[in-house]
Amino acid sequence: MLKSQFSIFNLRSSLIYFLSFFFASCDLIEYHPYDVNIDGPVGLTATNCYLIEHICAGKDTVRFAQISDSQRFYDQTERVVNDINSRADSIDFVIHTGDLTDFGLPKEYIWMRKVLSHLTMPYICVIGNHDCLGTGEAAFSRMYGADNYSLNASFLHIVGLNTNAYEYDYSKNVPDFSFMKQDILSIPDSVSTTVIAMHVAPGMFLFNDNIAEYFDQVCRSYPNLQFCICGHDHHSAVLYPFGPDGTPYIQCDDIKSCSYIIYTVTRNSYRYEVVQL
Amino acid sequence: MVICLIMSVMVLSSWGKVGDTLNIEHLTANTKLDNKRSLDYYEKRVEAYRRFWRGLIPNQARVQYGGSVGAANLGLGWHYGGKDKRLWETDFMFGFVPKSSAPEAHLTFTLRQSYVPFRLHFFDWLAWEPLSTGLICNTVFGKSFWVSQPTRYPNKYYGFSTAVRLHAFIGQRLRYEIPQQQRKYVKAISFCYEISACDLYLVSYVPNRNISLRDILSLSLGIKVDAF
Repeated sequence: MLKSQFSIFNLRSSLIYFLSFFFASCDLIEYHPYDVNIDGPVGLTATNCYLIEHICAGKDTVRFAQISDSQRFYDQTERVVNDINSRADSIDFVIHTGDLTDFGLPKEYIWMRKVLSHLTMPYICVIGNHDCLGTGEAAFSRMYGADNYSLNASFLHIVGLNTNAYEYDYSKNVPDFSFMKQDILSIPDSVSTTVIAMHVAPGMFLFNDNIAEYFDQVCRSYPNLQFCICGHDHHSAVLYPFGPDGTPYIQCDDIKSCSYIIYTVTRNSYRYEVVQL
Repeated sequence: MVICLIMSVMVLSSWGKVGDTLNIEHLTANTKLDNKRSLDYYEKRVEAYRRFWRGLIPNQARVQYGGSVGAANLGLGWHYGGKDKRLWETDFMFGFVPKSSAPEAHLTFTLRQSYVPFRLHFFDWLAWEPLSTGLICNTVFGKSFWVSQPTRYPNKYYGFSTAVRLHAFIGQRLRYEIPQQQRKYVKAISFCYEISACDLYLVSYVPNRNISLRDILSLSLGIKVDAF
Protein backbone atom coordinates (compact mmCIF):
# COMPACT_ATOMS: atom_id res chain seq x y z
CA MET A 1 0.00 0.00 0.00
CA LEU A 2 2.68 2.42 1.08
CA LYS A 3 4.78 1.46 -1.88
CA SER A 4 2.04 2.15 -4.38
CA GLN A 5 1.29 5.62 -2.90
CA PHE A 6 4.92 6.51 -3.17
CA SER A 7 4.92 5.28 -6.77
CA ILE A 8 1.88 7.33 -7.73
CA PHE A 9 3.47 10.47 -6.36
CA ASN A 10 6.62 9.71 -8.27
CA LEU A 11 4.69 8.95 -11.40
CA ARG A 12 2.72 12.18 -11.32
CA SER A 13 5.67 14.48 -10.74
CA SER A 14 7.84 12.76 -13.28
CA LEU A 15 5.04 12.85 -15.84
CA ILE A 16 4.72 16.59 -15.30
CA TYR A 17 8.45 17.01 -15.79
CA PHE A 18 8.34 14.76 -18.78
CA LEU A 19 5.49 16.65 -20.48
CA SER A 20 6.64 20.17 -19.63
CA PHE A 21 10.03 19.35 -21.09
CA PHE A 22 8.31 17.94 -24.16
CA PHE A 23 6.33 21.04 -24.99
CA ALA A 24 9.10 23.48 -24.12
CA SER A 25 11.38 21.78 -26.62
CA CYS A 26 9.14 21.43 -29.62
CA ASP A 27 11.12 23.96 -31.67
CA LEU A 28 14.18 21.79 -31.13
CA ILE A 29 12.91 19.29 -33.68
CA GLU A 30 15.33 19.13 -36.58
CA TYR A 31 15.12 16.62 -39.40
CA HIS A 32 18.73 16.66 -40.48
CA PRO A 33 21.69 19.07 -40.31
CA TYR A 34 21.50 19.33 -44.11
CA ASP A 35 17.72 19.77 -44.25
CA VAL A 36 17.16 23.11 -45.99
CA ASN A 37 14.33 24.25 -43.76
CA ILE A 38 15.01 27.96 -43.36
CA ASP A 39 12.57 30.23 -41.56
CA GLY A 40 12.86 33.96 -41.16
CA PRO A 41 14.01 36.46 -43.75
CA VAL A 42 14.83 34.87 -47.12
CA GLY A 43 15.61 36.24 -50.56
CA LEU A 44 17.93 38.75 -48.90
CA THR A 45 19.99 39.60 -51.99
CA ALA A 46 17.02 41.03 -53.87
CA THR A 47 15.83 43.02 -50.87
CA ASN A 48 19.26 44.36 -50.05
CA CYS A 49 20.13 45.18 -53.69
CA TYR A 50 16.99 47.29 -53.77
CA LEU A 51 17.99 49.02 -50.52
CA ILE A 52 21.54 49.65 -51.74
CA GLU A 53 20.32 51.15 -55.00
CA HIS A 54 17.96 53.32 -53.00
CA ILE A 55 20.63 54.45 -50.51
CA CYS A 56 23.26 55.19 -53.15
CA ALA A 57 20.97 56.87 -55.70
CA GLY A 58 22.48 60.13 -56.94
CA LYS A 59 25.74 59.79 -55.00
CA ASP A 60 29.08 60.75 -56.58
CA THR A 61 31.08 58.68 -54.14
CA VAL A 62 30.09 55.17 -53.12
CA ARG A 63 31.63 53.66 -50.01
CA PHE A 64 31.33 50.05 -49.04
CA ALA A 65 33.03 47.56 -46.77
CA GLN A 66 34.19 44.08 -47.72
CA ILE A 67 34.22 41.20 -45.29
CA SER A 68 35.09 37.63 -46.20
CA ASP A 69 35.44 34.06 -45.01
CA SER A 70 33.44 34.37 -41.81
CA GLN A 71 33.00 30.59 -41.59
CA ARG A 72 32.57 29.45 -37.99
CA PHE A 73 33.94 32.77 -36.62
CA TYR A 74 30.68 34.15 -35.26
CA ASP A 75 32.20 36.06 -32.34
CA GLN A 76 34.80 37.73 -34.56
CA THR A 77 32.13 38.51 -37.16
CA GLU A 78 30.11 40.24 -34.47
CA ARG A 79 33.15 42.30 -33.52
CA VAL A 80 33.65 43.36 -37.13
CA VAL A 81 29.93 44.08 -37.53
CA ASN A 82 30.04 46.35 -34.49
CA ASP A 83 33.07 48.15 -35.86
CA ILE A 84 31.43 48.66 -39.26
CA ASN A 85 28.32 49.96 -37.50
CA SER A 86 30.45 52.48 -35.63
CA ARG A 87 31.43 53.92 -39.01
CA ALA A 88 27.90 53.71 -40.38
CA ASP A 89 27.89 57.29 -41.67
CA SER A 90 30.82 56.58 -43.99
CA ILE A 91 29.81 53.12 -45.23
CA ASP A 92 26.83 52.69 -47.55
CA PHE A 93 26.69 48.91 -47.65
CA VAL A 94 28.70 45.74 -47.06
CA ILE A 95 29.79 42.98 -49.45
CA HIS A 96 30.58 39.55 -48.04
CA THR A 97 32.85 37.74 -50.49
CA GLY A 98 31.87 34.19 -49.64
CA ASP A 99 32.34 31.36 -47.17
CA LEU A 100 29.62 32.37 -44.79
CA THR A 101 29.60 28.78 -43.60
CA ASP A 102 32.24 26.16 -42.99
CA PHE A 103 30.20 23.03 -43.79
CA GLY A 104 27.34 24.43 -45.91
CA LEU A 105 24.85 23.67 -43.11
CA PRO A 106 21.53 25.57 -43.17
CA LYS A 107 21.94 26.27 -39.45
CA GLU A 108 25.29 27.92 -40.12
CA TYR A 109 23.56 30.18 -42.63
CA ILE A 110 20.95 31.02 -40.00
CA TRP A 111 23.57 31.75 -37.33
CA MET A 112 25.55 33.92 -39.73
CA ARG A 113 22.42 35.74 -40.86
CA LYS A 114 21.65 36.50 -37.23
CA VAL A 115 25.07 38.09 -36.73
CA LEU A 116 25.03 39.96 -40.06
CA SER A 117 21.48 41.21 -39.41
CA HIS A 118 22.98 43.49 -36.77
CA LEU A 119 24.58 45.53 -39.56
CA THR A 120 22.87 48.89 -39.75
CA MET A 121 23.38 49.02 -43.54
CA PRO A 122 22.33 46.45 -46.17
CA TYR A 123 24.70 43.65 -47.12
CA ILE A 124 25.07 41.31 -50.07
CA CYS A 125 26.93 38.02 -50.30
CA VAL A 126 28.59 35.97 -52.99
CA ILE A 127 28.75 32.22 -52.61
CA GLY A 128 32.01 30.65 -51.44
CA ASN A 129 33.31 27.14 -51.96
CA HIS A 130 32.40 26.05 -48.43
CA ASP A 131 28.89 27.41 -48.96
CA CYS A 132 28.41 24.89 -51.77
CA LEU A 133 28.99 21.78 -49.63
CA GLY A 134 26.14 19.33 -49.06
CA THR A 135 22.86 21.19 -49.56
CA GLY A 136 24.65 24.50 -48.96
CA GLU A 137 23.96 25.85 -52.41
CA ALA A 138 20.22 25.27 -51.97
CA ALA A 139 20.39 26.98 -48.58
CA PHE A 140 22.26 29.93 -50.12
CA SER A 141 19.74 30.28 -52.89
CA ARG A 142 16.86 30.12 -50.41
CA MET A 143 18.34 32.63 -47.98
CA TYR A 144 20.06 35.01 -50.40
CA GLY A 145 18.89 34.21 -53.92
CA ALA A 146 20.75 33.76 -57.20
CA ASP A 147 24.48 33.07 -57.07
CA ASN A 148 25.08 35.51 -59.95
CA TYR A 149 23.51 38.95 -59.66
CA SER A 150 24.24 42.61 -60.18
CA LEU A 151 23.05 45.98 -58.96
CA ASN A 152 23.59 49.62 -59.82
CA ALA A 153 24.65 51.73 -56.86
CA SER A 154 24.33 55.16 -58.51
CA PHE A 155 27.12 55.23 -61.15
CA LEU A 156 28.65 51.98 -59.88
CA HIS A 157 27.71 48.61 -61.31
CA ILE A 158 28.40 45.83 -58.79
CA VAL A 159 28.44 42.23 -59.97
CA GLY A 160 28.38 39.22 -57.66
CA LEU A 161 29.64 36.04 -59.27
CA ASN A 162 29.88 32.38 -58.37
CA THR A 163 33.44 31.39 -59.34
CA ASN A 164 33.78 28.13 -57.35
CA ALA A 165 34.13 26.04 -60.51
CA TYR A 166 35.78 23.12 -58.74
CA GLU A 167 32.73 22.49 -56.56
CA TYR A 168 30.58 21.75 -59.60
CA ASP A 169 32.82 19.44 -61.55
CA TYR A 170 31.59 20.88 -64.87
CA SER A 171 27.94 20.17 -64.01
CA LYS A 172 27.17 23.88 -64.10
CA ASN A 173 28.57 26.88 -65.96
CA VAL A 174 30.86 28.45 -63.39
CA PRO A 175 31.60 31.29 -63.97
CA ASP A 176 28.45 31.87 -65.97
CA PHE A 177 29.47 33.82 -69.08
CA SER A 178 25.96 33.96 -70.48
CA PHE A 179 24.89 35.75 -67.29
CA MET A 180 27.81 38.18 -67.59
CA LYS A 181 27.10 38.96 -71.25
CA GLN A 182 23.39 39.46 -70.57
CA ASP A 183 24.29 41.63 -67.61
CA ILE A 184 26.61 43.84 -69.68
CA LEU A 185 23.79 44.42 -72.15
CA SER A 186 21.40 45.46 -69.40
CA ILE A 187 23.60 48.20 -67.87
CA PRO A 188 21.95 51.62 -68.15
CA ASP A 189 23.88 54.59 -69.56
CA SER A 190 24.01 56.36 -66.22
CA VAL A 191 26.34 53.63 -64.95
CA SER A 192 29.96 54.25 -65.78
CA THR A 193 32.05 52.13 -63.42
CA THR A 194 32.14 48.46 -62.49
CA VAL A 195 33.37 46.43 -59.54
CA ILE A 196 33.12 42.64 -59.60
CA ALA A 197 32.87 40.59 -56.40
CA MET A 198 33.71 36.90 -56.28
CA HIS A 199 34.98 34.37 -53.79
CA VAL A 200 37.72 32.59 -55.73
CA ALA A 201 39.93 34.73 -57.98
CA PRO A 202 41.56 33.50 -61.20
CA GLY A 203 44.81 31.73 -60.41
CA MET A 204 43.43 29.94 -57.35
CA PHE A 205 42.92 26.24 -57.94
CA LEU A 206 39.16 26.26 -57.28
CA PHE A 207 38.77 28.64 -60.22
CA ASN A 208 38.51 27.03 -63.63
CA ASP A 209 41.87 28.42 -64.75
CA ASN A 210 41.54 27.02 -68.23
CA ILE A 211 39.09 29.82 -69.00
CA ALA A 212 40.79 32.51 -66.87
CA GLU A 213 41.94 34.56 -69.89
CA TYR A 214 38.47 34.53 -71.38
CA PHE A 215 36.99 35.40 -67.98
CA ASP A 216 39.27 38.42 -67.87
CA GLN A 217 38.22 39.39 -71.38
CA VAL A 218 34.52 39.27 -70.46
CA CYS A 219 35.17 41.13 -67.20
CA ARG A 220 36.97 43.89 -69.09
CA SER A 221 34.02 44.35 -71.40
CA TYR A 222 32.12 45.77 -68.41
CA PRO A 223 32.20 49.59 -68.46
CA ASN A 224 35.37 50.90 -66.78
CA LEU A 225 36.10 47.87 -64.60
CA GLN A 226 38.10 49.37 -61.77
CA PHE A 227 38.95 46.32 -59.72
CA CYS A 228 37.65 42.96 -58.54
CA ILE A 229 37.27 41.89 -54.93
CA CYS A 230 37.75 38.36 -53.68
CA GLY A 231 38.39 36.31 -50.57
CA HIS A 232 39.17 32.65 -50.05
CA ASP A 233 42.89 32.81 -49.29
CA HIS A 234 42.57 34.08 -45.70
CA HIS A 235 44.99 37.00 -45.98
CA SER A 236 44.81 40.49 -47.41
CA ALA A 237 46.63 41.04 -50.67
CA VAL A 238 46.38 42.67 -54.06
CA LEU A 239 46.66 40.09 -56.81
CA TYR A 240 47.42 40.70 -60.46
CA PRO A 241 46.58 37.35 -62.08
CA PHE A 242 46.75 38.89 -65.56
CA GLY A 243 50.00 40.79 -65.18
CA PRO A 244 50.84 44.12 -63.54
CA ASP A 245 48.81 46.05 -66.12
CA GLY A 246 45.79 43.77 -65.72
CA THR A 247 42.80 44.10 -63.42
CA PRO A 248 43.75 44.21 -59.73
CA TYR A 249 42.03 41.62 -57.51
CA ILE A 250 41.82 42.95 -53.98
CA GLN A 251 41.70 40.06 -51.56
CA CYS A 252 40.22 40.42 -48.10
CA ASP A 253 41.54 38.67 -45.04
CA ASP A 254 39.23 36.29 -43.16
CA ILE A 255 37.06 37.40 -40.26
CA LYS A 256 39.07 35.29 -37.84
CA SER A 257 41.77 37.96 -37.87
CA CYS A 258 39.07 40.66 -37.40
CA SER A 259 40.06 42.39 -40.61
CA TYR A 260 37.98 44.05 -43.29
CA ILE A 261 38.39 46.54 -46.14
CA ILE A 262 36.63 49.87 -46.76
CA TYR A 263 36.44 51.05 -50.37
CA THR A 264 35.74 54.54 -51.59
CA VAL A 265 34.82 54.58 -55.28
CA THR A 266 34.17 57.54 -57.55
CA ARG A 267 33.59 57.53 -61.30
CA ASN A 268 37.31 57.59 -62.14
CA SER A 269 39.15 56.59 -59.01
CA TYR A 270 39.06 54.35 -56.03
CA ARG A 271 40.95 53.87 -52.83
CA TYR A 272 40.74 51.31 -50.10
CA GLU A 273 41.71 50.99 -46.51
CA VAL A 274 42.38 47.73 -44.71
CA VAL A 275 40.97 47.88 -41.20
CA GLN A 276 42.58 45.60 -38.66
CA LEU A 277 40.88 45.36 -35.28
CA MET B 1 30.70 -6.65 -47.78
CA VAL B 2 32.25 -6.23 -44.33
CA ILE B 3 29.02 -7.37 -42.71
CA CYS B 4 29.01 -10.50 -44.87
CA LEU B 5 32.57 -11.20 -43.82
CA ILE B 6 31.76 -10.79 -40.13
CA MET B 7 28.68 -13.00 -40.48
CA SER B 8 30.61 -15.76 -42.19
CA VAL B 9 33.33 -15.62 -39.52
CA MET B 10 30.64 -15.89 -36.82
CA VAL B 11 29.00 -18.82 -38.54
CA LEU B 12 32.28 -20.61 -39.02
CA SER B 13 33.31 -20.06 -35.42
CA SER B 14 29.94 -21.33 -34.19
CA TRP B 15 30.36 -24.46 -36.30
CA GLY B 16 33.77 -24.99 -34.79
CA LYS B 17 32.34 -24.74 -31.26
CA VAL B 18 29.55 -27.15 -32.06
CA GLY B 19 32.12 -29.60 -33.34
CA ASP B 20 34.20 -29.34 -30.15
CA THR B 21 31.33 -29.91 -27.72
CA LEU B 22 29.98 -32.68 -29.82
CA ASN B 23 33.31 -34.46 -29.84
CA ILE B 24 33.32 -34.51 -26.04
CA GLU B 25 29.72 -35.65 -25.88
CA HIS B 26 30.53 -38.18 -28.48
CA LEU B 27 33.34 -39.61 -26.37
CA THR B 28 31.21 -39.82 -23.20
CA ALA B 29 28.40 -41.41 -25.13
CA ASN B 30 30.79 -43.80 -26.74
CA THR B 31 29.85 -46.66 -24.42
CA LYS B 32 26.26 -46.82 -25.68
CA LEU B 33 26.86 -46.85 -29.37
CA ASP B 34 23.93 -46.97 -31.67
CA ASN B 35 23.49 -46.85 -35.40
CA LYS B 36 21.80 -43.41 -35.36
CA ARG B 37 25.01 -41.81 -34.12
CA SER B 38 25.84 -39.86 -37.25
CA LEU B 39 22.22 -38.64 -37.55
CA ASP B 40 22.34 -37.35 -33.95
CA TYR B 41 25.49 -35.48 -34.72
CA TYR B 42 23.89 -33.86 -37.74
CA GLU B 43 20.72 -32.91 -35.86
CA LYS B 44 22.67 -31.37 -33.02
CA ARG B 45 24.71 -29.42 -35.43
CA VAL B 46 21.62 -28.08 -37.19
CA GLU B 47 20.09 -27.23 -33.84
CA ALA B 48 23.22 -25.33 -32.79
CA TYR B 49 23.24 -23.55 -36.10
CA ARG B 50 19.61 -22.53 -35.63
CA ARG B 51 20.25 -21.47 -32.05
CA PHE B 52 23.05 -19.21 -33.23
CA TRP B 53 20.89 -17.49 -35.82
CA ARG B 54 17.92 -17.31 -33.44
CA GLY B 55 20.16 -15.28 -31.16
CA LEU B 56 20.53 -12.73 -33.92
CA ILE B 57 16.81 -12.12 -34.43
CA PRO B 58 16.12 -8.44 -33.70
CA ASN B 59 14.11 -8.22 -30.49
CA GLN B 60 13.00 -4.61 -30.73
CA ALA B 61 11.70 -2.12 -33.28
CA ARG B 62 11.82 1.64 -33.16
CA VAL B 63 10.13 4.60 -34.81
CA GLN B 64 11.59 8.03 -34.34
CA TYR B 65 10.64 11.54 -35.31
CA GLY B 66 13.30 14.24 -35.63
CA GLY B 67 16.65 14.03 -33.92
CA SER B 68 18.70 15.29 -36.90
CA VAL B 69 18.96 11.83 -38.41
CA GLY B 70 15.95 12.10 -40.73
CA ALA B 71 12.36 13.31 -40.40
CA ALA B 72 10.94 9.87 -39.71
CA ASN B 73 13.01 6.79 -38.96
CA LEU B 74 12.04 3.17 -38.80
CA GLY B 75 14.38 0.48 -37.58
CA LEU B 76 15.12 -2.81 -35.90
CA GLY B 77 17.57 -3.62 -33.18
CA TRP B 78 18.66 -5.63 -30.24
CA HIS B 79 18.66 -5.10 -26.49
CA TYR B 80 21.15 -7.17 -24.61
CA GLY B 81 23.59 -7.22 -21.72
CA GLY B 82 23.03 -6.96 -17.98
CA LYS B 83 21.01 -9.38 -15.89
CA ASP B 84 17.68 -8.78 -17.64
CA LYS B 85 19.26 -8.18 -21.03
CA ARG B 86 18.41 -4.52 -21.39
CA LEU B 87 21.60 -2.61 -20.53
CA TRP B 88 22.75 -2.08 -24.11
CA GLU B 89 20.85 -1.49 -27.29
CA THR B 90 21.97 -1.49 -30.88
CA ASP B 91 19.61 -0.32 -33.60
CA PHE B 92 19.76 0.35 -37.27
CA MET B 93 17.22 2.61 -38.87
CA PHE B 94 16.27 3.94 -42.24
CA GLY B 95 14.82 7.40 -42.55
CA PHE B 96 14.35 10.23 -44.96
CA VAL B 97 15.00 13.94 -45.15
CA PRO B 98 12.16 15.78 -46.89
CA LYS B 99 12.87 17.94 -49.89
CA SER B 100 12.17 21.29 -48.19
CA SER B 101 14.05 23.87 -50.27
CA ALA B 102 16.67 21.40 -51.50
CA PRO B 103 16.54 19.97 -55.04
CA GLU B 104 15.63 16.50 -53.77
CA ALA B 105 14.67 14.43 -50.74
CA HIS B 106 17.29 12.15 -49.20
CA LEU B 107 17.39 8.70 -47.68
CA THR B 108 19.32 8.23 -44.45
CA PHE B 109 20.75 5.23 -42.65
CA THR B 110 21.45 5.30 -38.94
CA LEU B 111 23.34 3.05 -36.58
CA ARG B 112 22.82 3.75 -32.92
CA GLN B 113 24.31 2.35 -29.77
CA SER B 114 22.56 3.15 -26.50
CA TYR B 115 23.27 2.51 -22.87
CA VAL B 116 20.30 2.33 -20.49
CA PRO B 117 21.66 1.80 -16.98
CA PHE B 118 18.52 2.23 -14.84
CA ARG B 119 14.95 1.05 -14.84
CA LEU B 120 12.72 2.20 -12.01
CA HIS B 121 9.39 0.40 -11.71
CA PHE B 122 6.37 2.45 -10.63
CA PHE B 123 4.19 -0.60 -11.01
CA ASP B 124 4.75 -3.99 -12.51
CA TRP B 125 3.52 -2.63 -15.80
CA LEU B 126 5.03 0.85 -15.78
CA ALA B 127 8.68 1.78 -15.52
CA TRP B 128 10.77 4.87 -15.92
CA GLU B 129 14.18 4.77 -17.51
CA PRO B 130 15.69 8.04 -16.31
CA LEU B 131 18.76 7.87 -18.53
CA SER B 132 19.46 6.60 -21.96
CA THR B 133 22.63 7.77 -23.59
CA GLY B 134 24.80 6.80 -26.50
CA LEU B 135 26.19 7.56 -29.91
CA ILE B 136 24.56 7.74 -33.29
CA CYS B 137 26.26 7.37 -36.63
CA ASN B 138 24.11 8.70 -39.44
CA THR B 139 24.73 8.75 -43.14
CA VAL B 140 22.73 10.59 -45.77
CA PHE B 141 22.61 9.33 -49.33
CA GLY B 142 22.71 11.63 -52.32
CA LYS B 143 25.09 12.79 -54.98
CA SER B 144 25.96 16.00 -53.14
CA PHE B 145 27.19 14.09 -50.07
CA TRP B 146 30.49 12.32 -49.82
CA VAL B 147 31.99 10.08 -47.16
CA SER B 148 35.48 11.23 -48.07
CA GLN B 149 36.11 14.14 -50.37
CA PRO B 150 36.12 13.52 -54.13
CA THR B 151 39.54 12.81 -55.59
CA ARG B 152 39.64 16.07 -57.52
CA TYR B 153 40.50 18.03 -54.38
CA PRO B 154 44.02 18.22 -52.99
CA ASN B 155 44.67 15.81 -50.16
CA LYS B 156 42.65 16.62 -47.00
CA TYR B 157 41.29 19.86 -48.44
CA TYR B 158 37.99 19.42 -46.61
CA GLY B 159 38.80 17.74 -43.33
CA PHE B 160 35.32 16.31 -42.77
CA SER B 161 32.63 14.21 -44.40
CA THR B 162 29.37 15.72 -45.60
CA ALA B 163 27.66 12.30 -45.62
CA VAL B 164 28.54 10.89 -42.19
CA ARG B 165 27.50 12.62 -38.98
CA LEU B 166 28.22 11.53 -35.43
CA HIS B 167 25.73 12.49 -32.75
CA ALA B 168 25.80 12.08 -29.00
CA PHE B 169 22.47 11.88 -27.21
CA ILE B 170 20.92 11.77 -23.79
CA GLY B 171 17.28 11.01 -23.06
CA GLN B 172 14.60 9.37 -20.98
CA ARG B 173 11.87 6.80 -21.45
CA LEU B 174 8.60 5.68 -20.03
CA ARG B 175 8.06 1.97 -20.44
CA TYR B 176 4.72 0.22 -20.51
CA GLU B 177 5.07 -3.50 -20.04
CA ILE B 178 2.10 -5.48 -21.26
CA PRO B 179 0.96 -8.00 -18.62
CA GLN B 180 1.91 -11.53 -19.54
CA GLN B 181 -1.67 -12.79 -19.96
CA GLN B 182 -2.64 -9.93 -22.27
CA ARG B 183 0.35 -10.08 -24.58
CA LYS B 184 -0.58 -10.64 -28.18
CA TYR B 185 2.19 -9.26 -30.33
CA VAL B 186 4.74 -7.45 -28.20
CA LYS B 187 6.17 -7.49 -24.71
CA ALA B 188 6.57 -3.79 -23.97
CA ILE B 189 6.24 -0.32 -25.46
CA SER B 190 8.54 2.55 -24.49
CA PHE B 191 7.99 6.22 -25.19
CA CYS B 192 11.30 7.99 -25.56
CA TYR B 193 12.68 11.42 -26.06
CA GLU B 194 16.29 12.28 -26.67
CA ILE B 195 18.33 15.45 -26.94
CA SER B 196 21.30 15.19 -29.26
CA ALA B 197 24.03 17.27 -30.81
CA CYS B 198 26.09 16.46 -33.87
CA ASP B 199 29.82 16.84 -34.43
CA LEU B 200 29.66 19.84 -36.80
CA TYR B 201 27.39 21.76 -34.43
CA LEU B 202 29.67 21.04 -31.51
CA VAL B 203 32.75 22.39 -33.29
CA SER B 204 30.73 25.53 -34.10
CA TYR B 205 29.47 25.86 -30.55
CA VAL B 206 32.73 25.43 -28.67
CA PRO B 207 34.71 28.48 -29.90
CA ASN B 208 31.73 30.87 -30.18
CA ARG B 209 29.86 32.60 -27.39
CA ASN B 210 27.39 33.70 -30.06
CA ILE B 211 26.11 30.14 -30.47
CA SER B 212 24.05 28.96 -27.55
CA LEU B 213 23.56 25.39 -26.43
CA ARG B 214 19.93 25.62 -27.51
CA ASP B 215 21.10 26.43 -31.07
CA ILE B 216 22.89 23.12 -31.45
CA LEU B 217 20.53 20.73 -29.67
CA SER B 218 18.03 18.58 -31.46
CA LEU B 219 15.03 16.78 -29.97
CA SER B 220 13.73 13.44 -31.09
CA LEU B 221 10.53 11.67 -30.08
CA GLY B 222 10.33 7.94 -30.44
CA ILE B 223 8.48 4.77 -29.68
CA LYS B 224 10.36 1.57 -29.02
CA VAL B 225 8.63 -1.79 -29.08
CA ASP B 226 10.17 -4.84 -27.43
CA ALA B 227 9.07 -7.98 -29.21
CA PHE B 228 10.55 -10.27 -26.53
